[in-house]
Amino acid sequence: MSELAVAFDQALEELLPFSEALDRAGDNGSVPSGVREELLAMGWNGLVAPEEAGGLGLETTEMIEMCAVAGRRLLPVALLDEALLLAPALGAAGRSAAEAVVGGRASGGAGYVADASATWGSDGTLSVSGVGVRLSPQAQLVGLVHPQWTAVIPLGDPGVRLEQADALDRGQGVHLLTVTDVEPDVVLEGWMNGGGVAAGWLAGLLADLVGGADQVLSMSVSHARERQQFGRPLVRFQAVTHLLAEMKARLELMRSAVARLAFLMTEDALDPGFLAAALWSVPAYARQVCESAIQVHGGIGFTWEYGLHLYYRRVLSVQSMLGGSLDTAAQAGRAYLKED
Amino acid sequence: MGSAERHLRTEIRSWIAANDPGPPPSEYNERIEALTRWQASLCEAGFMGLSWPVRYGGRGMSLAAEAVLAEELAQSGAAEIINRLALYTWGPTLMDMGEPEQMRRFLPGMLDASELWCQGFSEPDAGSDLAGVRTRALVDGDELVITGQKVWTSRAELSTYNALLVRTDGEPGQHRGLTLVMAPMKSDGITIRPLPQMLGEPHFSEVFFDEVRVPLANVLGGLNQGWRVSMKAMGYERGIFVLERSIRLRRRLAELADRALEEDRVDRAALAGIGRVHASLEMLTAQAYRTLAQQQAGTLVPGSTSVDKLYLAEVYQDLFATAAEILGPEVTLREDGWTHDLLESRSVSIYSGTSEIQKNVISGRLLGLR
Repeated sequence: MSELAVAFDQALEELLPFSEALDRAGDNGSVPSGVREELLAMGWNGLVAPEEAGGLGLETTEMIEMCAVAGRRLLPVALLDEALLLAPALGAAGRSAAEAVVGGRASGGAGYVADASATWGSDGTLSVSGVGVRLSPQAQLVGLVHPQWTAVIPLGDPGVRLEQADALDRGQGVHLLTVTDVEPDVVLEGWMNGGGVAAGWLAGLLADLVGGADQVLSMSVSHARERQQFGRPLVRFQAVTHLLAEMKARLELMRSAVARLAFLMTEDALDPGFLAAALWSVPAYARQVCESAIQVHGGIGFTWEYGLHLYYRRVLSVQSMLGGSLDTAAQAGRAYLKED
Repeated sequence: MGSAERHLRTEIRSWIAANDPGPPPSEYNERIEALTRWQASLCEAGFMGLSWPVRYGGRGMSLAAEAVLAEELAQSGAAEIINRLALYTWGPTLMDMGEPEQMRRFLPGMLDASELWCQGFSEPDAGSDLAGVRTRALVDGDELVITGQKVWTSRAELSTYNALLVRTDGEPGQHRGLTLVMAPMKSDGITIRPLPQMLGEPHFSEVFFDEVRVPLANVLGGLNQGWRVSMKAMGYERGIFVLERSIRLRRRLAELADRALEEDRVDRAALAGIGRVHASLEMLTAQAYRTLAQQQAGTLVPGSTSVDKLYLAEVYQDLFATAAEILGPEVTLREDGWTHDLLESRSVSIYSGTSEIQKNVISGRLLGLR
């Protein structure tokens, strides 16, 4: 890990204790404003925004590492959206609002829009129905990413309707967003426009899942070493070690996927076929790792207190936001047939 | 990928365009002959041993060059390199651990396929449990006298040499006392009995050794160093091999997609199936590239290639099972390659270390659970 990532990891360990993440999920609360301010002071929201906009302008590979830390420490995902989507999208369009996001004066979140649920009016207004988005408290902006475009919507517009939707990923500010004839603040076309804003955001979300998978695998290995049954530790049972080995294999594949994604983005050679492949694979593998982690732990893994569910909820939430396992597979199939 | 590799890609592509022999014949013996000729011509054109040092007949390029070759071959009609085992496993191991005289003797025939290699590891009582090797070799003057039996030896009857693991000391079950010897297959006392596979092809054999005499000069890496040599060889085996297989699978996926489109079979389930296999192949390739980069940089963690092998088997089997589902029941009844590959896919989770052994390696070496 880079020095920056190590420092970030240590800071998050203090700022975001695991027990408080559990509490937030329990009462569906948000990150206390003090904690948020500390994160902003560390420059989190300026992670990839250009230096002119007050950002750190990290390279993709460095950004990926930071997102893995965020996933391991359960950083609220809306903060990832602010840093990786809102700030750079506004920055790419030359909007001064980018600085407001970087500085934390403007907050928001993001969501992913599947093909069918969005329509554009001839006057350049957008309508979207029932899209899941995550929002920071007092959010003013939401970024929407579609396979062909990225838009930033002002939440104050009268055409915006939000409905709390916290069944799955509590404490993350998840809402269902409906937009009727709203003119977006910013529209970027394609995956790689604006310096690859949408692709970078997706890569960050996938890297976040790598961090979470890494964490639950470590927890599972520790548990299996310590937990005794039939007079020996679980790691003496091959059924258990084989589950752990499959988890490790999945984790390494996720790492390779994200590393290749970063490489292709840096080389400006990312094609929709690979991106679609990663959008199916990485959440699917992360999900398998989490499900096996719960299985390896047995009853304790199913308790609220132990908290594996926080990682599992995060994975399920991202996977369903992207369209779910079947739909992302079909999207990968469509992308493949187009290229073929 | 640097400019040398980009230049190489153009060179290979135009050479293949002019020399592609097309798909090899389906009859086993004809296929073997065609593949042997193909490797000889690839060697003559300077494409064998790209990553080998120039002094050993190679071109001194990076492993990325081998990846380029594998990718370009997969686009041609004849993707397979018949002496792959020698080229990617035993050649590099020999260059690493062998004597100069051995390299002069063995390396040229590996490159031009004039001497094919097989590998004698498994025995009736030592399959996954490699340390269980019982085939005995006694030192007699400047020779080893070998007695015992090997099994599942691929292409034994075609091979000039066998990278043979024998016991020169210790007891079955012990890692110590094993020796790797490069045994000429024409030696007196060797009997080869082909074991037809479920595919109906000979391909692998039982090989019996009855007081077979092999010069001590053919021992690789020293007496009783066989375990170390074998582990080294297995590390070499994976990187390029998985990449080459994954590229062959891509080709088959493209054929599946073409045919599904042609026969109007692309419904949502088929799209999801094709998408899942495509995605898995991309992930397998990403993994193989990472392995190659680590191999090149010398940072490869021992045991990590087990991830590649484990996942290769999974994707391989998923591809042909998915193909059978999408193309419908008649595809398995007609003899057009899909049935062959569906059946063959079951071997991938067995050969070169079963998937269960790979999981043992991953949990043992990568997670530290022993």
